[in-house]
Amino acid sequence: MRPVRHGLCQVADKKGSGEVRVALVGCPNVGKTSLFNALTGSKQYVANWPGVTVEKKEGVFLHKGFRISVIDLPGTYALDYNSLDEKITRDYILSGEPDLIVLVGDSVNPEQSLYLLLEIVEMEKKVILALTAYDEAKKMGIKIDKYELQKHLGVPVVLVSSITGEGLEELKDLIVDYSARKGVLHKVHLDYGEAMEKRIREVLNNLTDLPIGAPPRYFAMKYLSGDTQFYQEALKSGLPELSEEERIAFKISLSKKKRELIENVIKEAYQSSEEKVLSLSEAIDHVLTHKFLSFPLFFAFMYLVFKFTFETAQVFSDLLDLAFTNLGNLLVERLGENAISSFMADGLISGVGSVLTFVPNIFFLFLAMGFLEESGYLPRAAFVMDRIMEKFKLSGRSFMSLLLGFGCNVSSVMSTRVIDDPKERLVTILISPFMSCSARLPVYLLILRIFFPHASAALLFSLYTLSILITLLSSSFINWLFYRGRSSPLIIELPRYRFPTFRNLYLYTWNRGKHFLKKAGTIILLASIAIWFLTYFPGNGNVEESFSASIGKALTWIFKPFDYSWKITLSLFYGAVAKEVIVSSITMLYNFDEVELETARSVLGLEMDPVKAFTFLVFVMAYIPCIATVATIYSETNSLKWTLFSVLYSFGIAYSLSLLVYKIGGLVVRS
Amino acid sequence: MKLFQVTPGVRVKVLRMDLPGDVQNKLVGMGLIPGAIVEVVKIAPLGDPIVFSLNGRNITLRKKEAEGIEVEPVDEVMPLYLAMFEDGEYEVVEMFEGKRFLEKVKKLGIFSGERLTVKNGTLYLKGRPILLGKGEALKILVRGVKG
Amino acid sequence: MNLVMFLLTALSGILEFWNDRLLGFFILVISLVFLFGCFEKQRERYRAHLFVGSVLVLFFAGFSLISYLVSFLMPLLGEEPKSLTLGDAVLVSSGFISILNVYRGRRK
Repeated sequence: MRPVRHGLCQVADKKGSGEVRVALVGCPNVGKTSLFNALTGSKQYVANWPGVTVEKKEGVFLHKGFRISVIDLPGTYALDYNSLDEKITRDYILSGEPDLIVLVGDSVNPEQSLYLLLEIVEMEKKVILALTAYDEAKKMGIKIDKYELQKHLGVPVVLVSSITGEGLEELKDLIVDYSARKGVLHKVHLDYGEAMEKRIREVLNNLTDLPIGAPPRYFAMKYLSGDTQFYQEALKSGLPELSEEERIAFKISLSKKKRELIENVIKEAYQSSEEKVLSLSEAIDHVLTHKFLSFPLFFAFMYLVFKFTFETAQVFSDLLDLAFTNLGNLLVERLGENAISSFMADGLISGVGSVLTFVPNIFFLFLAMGFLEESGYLPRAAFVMDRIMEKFKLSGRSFMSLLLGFGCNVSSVMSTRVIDDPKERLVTILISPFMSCSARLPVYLLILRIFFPHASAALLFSLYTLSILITLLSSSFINWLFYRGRSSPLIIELPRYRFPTFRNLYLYTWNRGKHFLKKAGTIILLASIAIWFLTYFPGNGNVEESFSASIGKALTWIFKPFDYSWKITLSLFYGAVAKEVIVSSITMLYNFDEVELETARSVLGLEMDPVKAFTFLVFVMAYIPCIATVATIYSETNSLKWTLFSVLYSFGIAYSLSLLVYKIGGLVVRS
Repeated sequence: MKLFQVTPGVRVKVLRMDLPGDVQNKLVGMGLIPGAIVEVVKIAPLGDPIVFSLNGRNITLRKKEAEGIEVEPVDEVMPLYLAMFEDGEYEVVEMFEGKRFLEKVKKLGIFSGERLTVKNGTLYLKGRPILLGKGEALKILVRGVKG
Repeated sequence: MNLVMFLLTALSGILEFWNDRLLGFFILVISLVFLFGCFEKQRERYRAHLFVGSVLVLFFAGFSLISYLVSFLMPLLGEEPKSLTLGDAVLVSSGFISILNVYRGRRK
């Protein structure tokens, strides 16, 4: 048994029989995460792989006195070191850290899974094949001969279903048994035919010292097929360079031989009813990617998601809001009006409260997103929308993320994790704050109602349109600035539709929502304490004499061209914490109530004309992402440089755009 | 013939792939190699990405990438539209529904069992050149005749 | 069957339109699924439209049911709970027929 390495595994087992580390490997969409959830239940820990922002999921379960920790590796089709996911997976398998690998395969279409299995067999690792979705295969009339598979592949095979739970116990037993057994490493030689075997032998003979971290035969084959990692290593250790044609040809021949073998194995082990009917998945696809229906239906889904997140959840948000307000009032009542009660009520409770009231929205949003993702609709949406997004150097995958931005930019940045191309993911992260989130809506509504009571709907619409335009054009611009290459290709698999299970949805929502609670919560809490402090002192509650006033006055030079007063400047400054804060700081600084529009008009009208007001809104729409978003951008990109770029870029765009609006508006109105 | 020219429902065999390295690597990893048999399942509503099925799995691909994949039809019988990419002689096997369409081809003199010749992308019937729209050429199934 | 479902959903869409323009509009969009289904010649595709349309109707009916239930919490905020409109009633009843359709579709 290997030594305990991670904190979460430190509880020793009662019987002292030890622990097993199991890695789950499989293609995307085969139900790997479902199996992971079914094995570990809710005992999961989500972290990032060191240095990168790919999720590392770990879970633990106990079986027969063994403590089995499971690592859910990213889904990959092959182990070629092409993408980040492939690198992580291959490095982890070759590191020897896992005692056992469970290859999660698809019962219905096992071809690609078996290909992956053969790759791992060639790495000479202990591996079990678990074919999931066995219930679906049975329903489709597919008969699988497990023993035939074992005979040909030389690894133990289990047929499981994460939904019905069939085969799960068998898999657990097998994990425990098999990991304890010694000398079962698979040194199965796939015979690639005389010509290729000769090349492999030649390389092996020329190897002066044994490669580190990979079995020699595997190393030789990877070298011959021009693998990104091992080819370079081989050159360093003195092996000759190969021509590109030779490498590609070898790679394709390897792949071909494996595919042939797999085809034969499937022929032996699989029996399916041959009648070709329009399967349920194809039927659904026929309608959802229909020539005329696909777009309206897509918007219908989006509408439902939004209605669900911002209307149904709103009731819960309002209830929370009410509770926090009452709590604050109660405190002030009990403690009297003094610095402490003000700190508790205006600083802590309203600060933390303003975050927590968003929690229902966020959780409902992730629930809806989880449903779309788990059911398999998301890739279809990407497929349908791709043509439009390609024009802006994006792909259908980023479309979903951007759309979420209308709700909250934090969730939109976080959802970019599903984009596997790192370049496209980065661009999507950088542009998504321009999507006008729901927090900006109160600001629009306040100002529009005051200054444009008769044209507010049209202007609101124009603001949203502007935000979409800036988002898309920014993508083109950022791509032009940094990449200038071709856009990333859209190669995604459209998985079979599945009805999401309750457990998967719950874990999906909780794992992501938890993140929001922790990260955004701490930051906004600190910020609101700071703002309270600055506004309360040294004037003891008098705004005009507070630090805030001095800050606001000190910053007015920034908005000199716009002629904003220090109060407006200050509201924008605080609005960087969260955009809703603009509304509360304006009402607080000008001392009017949100409902008394007449008073507001007379007070604000002294400083602003309609052109200035609209300019202000354009600025609010585009300027610096709120602190929660900035923090999320930092945690997702893991780069200070890009976070800074995002802040400066959006500020620059907002400034120049609103200046443009201000000048043009001024010309139009005055003439 | 290139993969992006193939119409839905036709099975083709991959002959050659000429793509940028990373795209090629990814596709080879997913099982798209010369010799693989794929079927174009669907074309997106706006006409760009296509979906092809490979061993029962549906995979999307943009036309730009599909341009780099050289394929040939697997089945003997294929729509006339695809046959026009390859010079040769073809026999009409079947024609699909559509009253007006059937009348039109009748007028042109195309019947089941009739021989058609394709030369440099133009269709000839008994030496006469014939013009057919894409929709019409899709409704006629032909079989290659070895001359 | 597609025609019946089309008429039902279109009716509830038009009725909802008075209360909530967008909701009504999108229910009308769903009814289009059935409308297009009416013109499918292939039996499989005809059924596909019926199946998918029914699932979508179920989503919308389920949603309006949930928001109705949640609105019972509204008095806590000092607001009136929602009342079920005629449109909701038609939507929910077409939801019940949809359950039958979905059940039959899955069995196939």
